Amino acid sequence: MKILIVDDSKAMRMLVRRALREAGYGDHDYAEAQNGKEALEILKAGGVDLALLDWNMPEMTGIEVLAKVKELGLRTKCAMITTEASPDMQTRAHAEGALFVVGKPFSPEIIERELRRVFG
Amino acid sequence: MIGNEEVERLMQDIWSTILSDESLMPIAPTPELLAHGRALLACVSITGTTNATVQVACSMGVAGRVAQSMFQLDAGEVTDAEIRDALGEIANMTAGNIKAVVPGPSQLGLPVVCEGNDVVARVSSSHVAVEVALTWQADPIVVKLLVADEPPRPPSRVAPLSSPWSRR
Repeated sequence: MKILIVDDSKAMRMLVRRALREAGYGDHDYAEAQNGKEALEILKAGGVDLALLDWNMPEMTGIEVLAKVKELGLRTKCAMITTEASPDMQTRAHAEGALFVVGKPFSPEIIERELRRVFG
Repeated sequence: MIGNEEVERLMQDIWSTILSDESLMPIAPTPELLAHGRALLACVSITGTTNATVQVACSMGVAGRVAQSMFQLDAGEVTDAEIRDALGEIANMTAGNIKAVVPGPSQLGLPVVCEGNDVVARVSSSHVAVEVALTWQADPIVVKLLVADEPPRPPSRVAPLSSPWSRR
């Protein structure tokens, strides 16, 4: 499985990657993008199974990426790891196709639980 | 709105989840906490129904140790950009969780981090709604929530001016 981690913070990209490793997803292939625009280019090129998106980023937000993925009919599964995890924002993200929304700060256990729910 | 104790708990939650550290403890905020040496100040704005700014300030030493922990690097290995990024993300998580409990809808801005001596960011027409100080490894961290003052409301009706002249 190829996982794309999208966050404008390098520290957060590292924390997400570490959480994935601790959740038992350390053997997969990873790519990183620091904003939505960069992420969309990688997604358009294909081959990404899961994109983990931050919400607030320069250039293009995570929710805009979700909308574009839906509009372009891309098959990548998308989820959000964001501080924007209030019920209203979760509803918005789910409506745009996010499989799950994990709030920051997060523990590896939460990431693992959500990934198991999606991928079994 | 949100209170001091909730912000203290939020910071402790961030520290324990992100840095795996349970030693962040509240202390009394005093003006001279960050008055000596170089400090970093990370700000994130909340705009919309609630207009506010969240500030997280600490010494360069504390910010460096936060970055070391987040990047899992040794002292001297983290760059200035990584230190600013780490503190900006702490402020982002703080602001995001505050935004979730204040009246909305509102939008979150991107973190802005500045560095200097006696660094203070004043936001015009705002008041400090929350100010907490915490200590981590014997050094202080100060968190403030500055909320925009309500704009003055126009009078609902104009009261007639009483005339100094009286009619007979």
